[in-house]
Amino acid sequence: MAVLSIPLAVSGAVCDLDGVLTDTAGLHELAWATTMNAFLREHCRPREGDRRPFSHDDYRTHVDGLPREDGARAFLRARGLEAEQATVALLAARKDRHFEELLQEAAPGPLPGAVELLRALRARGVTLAVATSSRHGRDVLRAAGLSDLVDVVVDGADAARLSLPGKPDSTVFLHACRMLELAADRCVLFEDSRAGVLAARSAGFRLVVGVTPDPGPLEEAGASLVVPTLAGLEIERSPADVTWAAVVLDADGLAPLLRARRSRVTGALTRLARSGVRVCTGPLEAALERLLDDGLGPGLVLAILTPDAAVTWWRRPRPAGGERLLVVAPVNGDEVLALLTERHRRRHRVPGIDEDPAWVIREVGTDPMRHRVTEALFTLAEAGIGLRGAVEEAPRGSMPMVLGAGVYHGVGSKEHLLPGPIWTGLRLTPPPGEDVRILDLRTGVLLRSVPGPDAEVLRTARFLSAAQPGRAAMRAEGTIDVLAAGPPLLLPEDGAGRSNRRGRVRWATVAGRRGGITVACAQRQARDSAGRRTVERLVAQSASGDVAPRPDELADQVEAFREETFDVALAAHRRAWATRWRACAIDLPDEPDIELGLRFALFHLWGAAGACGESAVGARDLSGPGYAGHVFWDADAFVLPALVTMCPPAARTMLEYRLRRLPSAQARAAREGYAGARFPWESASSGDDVTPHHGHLGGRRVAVLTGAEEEHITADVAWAADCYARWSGDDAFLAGAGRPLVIETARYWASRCRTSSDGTAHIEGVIGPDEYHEHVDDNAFTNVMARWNMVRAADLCESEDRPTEETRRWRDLAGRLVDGWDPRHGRHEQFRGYSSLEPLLAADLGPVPLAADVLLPPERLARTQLVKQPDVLMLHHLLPHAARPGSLAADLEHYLPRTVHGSSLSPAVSASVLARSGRPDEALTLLRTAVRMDLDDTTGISAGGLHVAAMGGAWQAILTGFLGIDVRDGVLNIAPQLPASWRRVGVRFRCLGRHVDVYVTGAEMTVRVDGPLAVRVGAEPVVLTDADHFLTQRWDRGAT
Amino acid sequence: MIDVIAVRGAGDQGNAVVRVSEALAGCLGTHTCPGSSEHAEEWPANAVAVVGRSDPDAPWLHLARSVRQPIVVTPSGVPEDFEVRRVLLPLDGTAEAAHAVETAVALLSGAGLELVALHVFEAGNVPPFWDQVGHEEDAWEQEFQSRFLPGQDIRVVARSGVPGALVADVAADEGADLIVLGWSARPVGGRARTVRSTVETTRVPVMLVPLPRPDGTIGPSGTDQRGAQ
Repeated sequence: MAVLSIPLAVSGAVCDLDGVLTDTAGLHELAWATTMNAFLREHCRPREGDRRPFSHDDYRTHVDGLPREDGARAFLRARGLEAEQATVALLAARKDRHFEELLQEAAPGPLPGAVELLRALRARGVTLAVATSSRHGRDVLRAAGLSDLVDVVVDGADAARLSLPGKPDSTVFLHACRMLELAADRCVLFEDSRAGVLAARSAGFRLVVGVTPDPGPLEEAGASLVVPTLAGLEIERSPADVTWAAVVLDADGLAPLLRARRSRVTGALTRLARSGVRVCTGPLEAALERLLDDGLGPGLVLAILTPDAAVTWWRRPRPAGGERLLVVAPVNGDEVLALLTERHRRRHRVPGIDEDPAWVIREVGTDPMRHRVTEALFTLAEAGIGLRGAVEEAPRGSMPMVLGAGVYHGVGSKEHLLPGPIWTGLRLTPPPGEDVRILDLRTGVLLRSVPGPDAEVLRTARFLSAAQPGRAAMRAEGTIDVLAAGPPLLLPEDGAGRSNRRGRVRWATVAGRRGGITVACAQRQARDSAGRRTVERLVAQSASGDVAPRPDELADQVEAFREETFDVALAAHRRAWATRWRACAIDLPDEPDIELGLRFALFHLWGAAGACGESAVGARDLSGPGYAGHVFWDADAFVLPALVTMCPPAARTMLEYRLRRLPSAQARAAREGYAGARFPWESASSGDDVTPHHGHLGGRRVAVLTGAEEEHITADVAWAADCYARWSGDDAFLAGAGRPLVIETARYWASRCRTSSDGTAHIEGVIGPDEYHEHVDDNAFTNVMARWNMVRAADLCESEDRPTEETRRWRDLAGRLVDGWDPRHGRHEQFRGYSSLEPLLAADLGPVPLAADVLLPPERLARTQLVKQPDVLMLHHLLPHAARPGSLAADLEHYLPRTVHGSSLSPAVSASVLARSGRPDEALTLLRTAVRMDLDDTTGISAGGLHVAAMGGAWQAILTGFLGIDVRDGVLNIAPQLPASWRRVGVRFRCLGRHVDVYVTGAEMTVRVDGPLAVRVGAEPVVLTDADHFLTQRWDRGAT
Repeated sequence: MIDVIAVRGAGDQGNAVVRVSEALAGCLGTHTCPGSSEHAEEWPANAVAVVGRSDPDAPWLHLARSVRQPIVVTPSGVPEDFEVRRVLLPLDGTAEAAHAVETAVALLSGAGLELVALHVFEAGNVPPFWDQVGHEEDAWEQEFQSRFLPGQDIRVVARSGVPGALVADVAADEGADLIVLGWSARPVGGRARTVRSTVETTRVPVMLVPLPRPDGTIGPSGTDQRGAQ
């Protein structure tokens, strides 16, 4: 007796009809024979073609399983006859008529075993579809009494209506899977024809069962199992293919079934719970909601249900992602015990992830160059430590790297991030070729799978704990001939480090000039009877910019980790990520690419949020060595405004980085003859300027003046401090610790301004955000930022005390500081003299984005009006209320065509101001450029690190641009400007100490908060919402 | 063993051809032998042929389009003490260029030569973003090395402009003794313009490395007139 073992991951079955479930094959064969024999008799001349009568072999070889016209054509060709389409169509129609007549005369019954098979599948919770080329599929099913046993039917009539190609094309099968809402690899297919088996194999069905007395051709075609008939085919559930993370048991429904095994089942569930598996009873949907809150998507959940409940689950509308649920309907208590016992046996195996396409970044392939890019894309970062997603064997060209925030080495402009010890290396023999790598954004787990000829030969998973800062873990499993553990810790090639062991814990530490990175690791190996090796590493790691962490402390942490186990830590990690996504999220179902890109951005922004004490967020954060980890205005104007909406304390640590370097900024200002503090364009450990003095543009060595002249960074730091206080509601910050960031910078600007004979104030010899024009005077952005800085400082001081001579001077200077306003044209002039430059447009050079400075010599570029990135538009972005009222439209009209977007920061900011100005459809293209930048490696250098500021900019574009969200005077303002194609958009963020949900559908907006909050929608009056109250309001889609 | 075939024709370039042939043979650890373009089909498959740039008996363009072997086009005025110490490898990310580098590295790696790769930014390949001048080229160069020169100790030089006009200048600036260019044997298109311009203007020999077709064959391209590379 044949036994079909169906893996847990299989939840659907697709059955061919004729020859599998019903005996219409004989009727079809007879109809074909009648049709074709008449044709051969009537239309073929004696010497034309092969006139032998239509045979059983003809039926099996040429027409079985094919759409009628294809079958007719194939048969005629085999007989050496070329027929016109009209003839083929006529023959197909005749065959159909003959078949209908035969069907009327002799209603077909089910084939032996068919009813039992369908019932057995159903009893085990498998949902069922029939896919057939026959136009009469439904009639045949009805006649055979099988209609009620299947959930979905796709027959020839459907295929014709939907223009689906027939077999051997797999489209009909795949359509059946879609109707079941399951991927093909979660289905088993039953087929009797070779063409059908081939089609199923190409479509990726998990199992293909052939049903024919002649097994050879179907086995050759790739059938997993071939049986002569369905009669006697036993169905069992294989418990061993998925390492699920949670189980939902319908305890009430299954009570009679479990009666005899109750205590043993309870014991098994208890054991699982202790090892980190979530165990739920009660209503399935409620349980799934709870599990999702723990970071467990439906693809990680096993539901043990009654057959009826399973059928109901598959037939009714399910919650999002419900199709990925693993569903089992056991036939007895022993089967339940087997499932639970097997899962317990797999407790040391590599965990699974829920492969939700809206939440995973999936990479398949062998291209080593793409692998380099994915190393950066798959970076995991927590607690101020980043681990690049290099593959374990680190092939040539790979850059495995552990980096610590603020841990630098070297001096001056050569100061760079110090690589730490690597703990992910494995010896793999031979090195894997093609692999599948999946980053689960929902839970921060990186999974790798290497397929083999028959089964997976290697699988690894790693995570950096979001729940327990500093802890990290990796598991690998593979065949013993492929996988060997190797040394658990490796010192970086160019790092001066040391390593040793304490008991069972190994440690390694790398020290820079001041700080360092230390990693401790416990490794465990196991081997099972099937020849599979498992390697587990439990890690504690720490980085500090002051002094290398002590190995003993890390070793202690690993010892504590060993007590807790990998799975328990993983469960806590998943819960922590779920909490993050409850605080900050995007829902944009009409734009899945952008939605995934934004989730990817938020994921990596969370990586910048974990440092304690202070946080130095470099241009590539901790995802690679690019830009040496130097801290630019990217951190203050792009990353911080995003982080404050995600995790306000993380934004506060970024400001702490600036505060601790205030003395250095004050010293520089003094050295240069100014008051207050001047922050460096590029900063690393000390806060001294580390900007290189030379660089290259298209091979030309050029002097780099940004360190000397890009002074707006000083106001950007003050703006960041205010942004944090404004959004977080942490008023005490600016009154206390953060005060110097605003006051000292204002003092700098006050001393930096020059007053001319006409009484106007000026700032000369600077570089604005548009770095194509150096040493310019009265850059509008710099001046408006400086003006704002002085006024903000005066406000701050005067809120505590009476005006002083200094605050009056600040206000006076601010009032006299020119801002490039050109009343004649109603727009700002980017800097003095800009309007008289050659009015070249970006389109004159080529499609944007485009690094114009690589193409044109700097001196040539400086003579044009081409702009690298928003400059005047940047002031509209950062200080929308400080720009002249109504000037945004005119400034956009003028500057956007001149912007080449040669900076990776440019697309997001441009998208933001475009959307806010009422041009959201145009903004969409730029938003897409911003969010796909690293995923598609459009920069060409994402391998060296991710553009984390562009990610922050993209999130700002969504919040402040498309949704028009801003916080002013303690009020949350919302004024959406959505592209026509967006029917629904939802965001979740932190604001003024609250968790806020904003959901816009059509012309209705819902705002939900978890505490009292003042909210203004559009021009409507402020509404104070209560905790957990909804504010639902209509809004005008076209308003600006 | 690789033969270096000195293709001597009429004109005053005979000495230059011999000097370049001998210098190349020295690098490759082989010997030179005289050859004729009329019998090019008899040249050994692993030969390198050296021809004069303006030799009327062996027009280099015709020869380059009709043979399977790399040919070295030599200008007149090659000094008597000519040696190959530094080689310039223009790389534009095309299959031709990558193949030329592979071939050059395979041929010359044991000769102790300095290899310098040149990338020319032009309108069609300029990067979309160039964030900070003080850092971006380092990042770009590291990635360029990893993608196109993996595992090779080859210095990268970048320039902006028109490759055809720049390669000869950079060769002079860098003190290169030999330029290696990939060659798809197609007479028109951007790469063909670069090749022709370089060969006609440079003061150092240019090795043209034919690009294998997808089927692995190399050679005459009489029927392939698609033009663009």
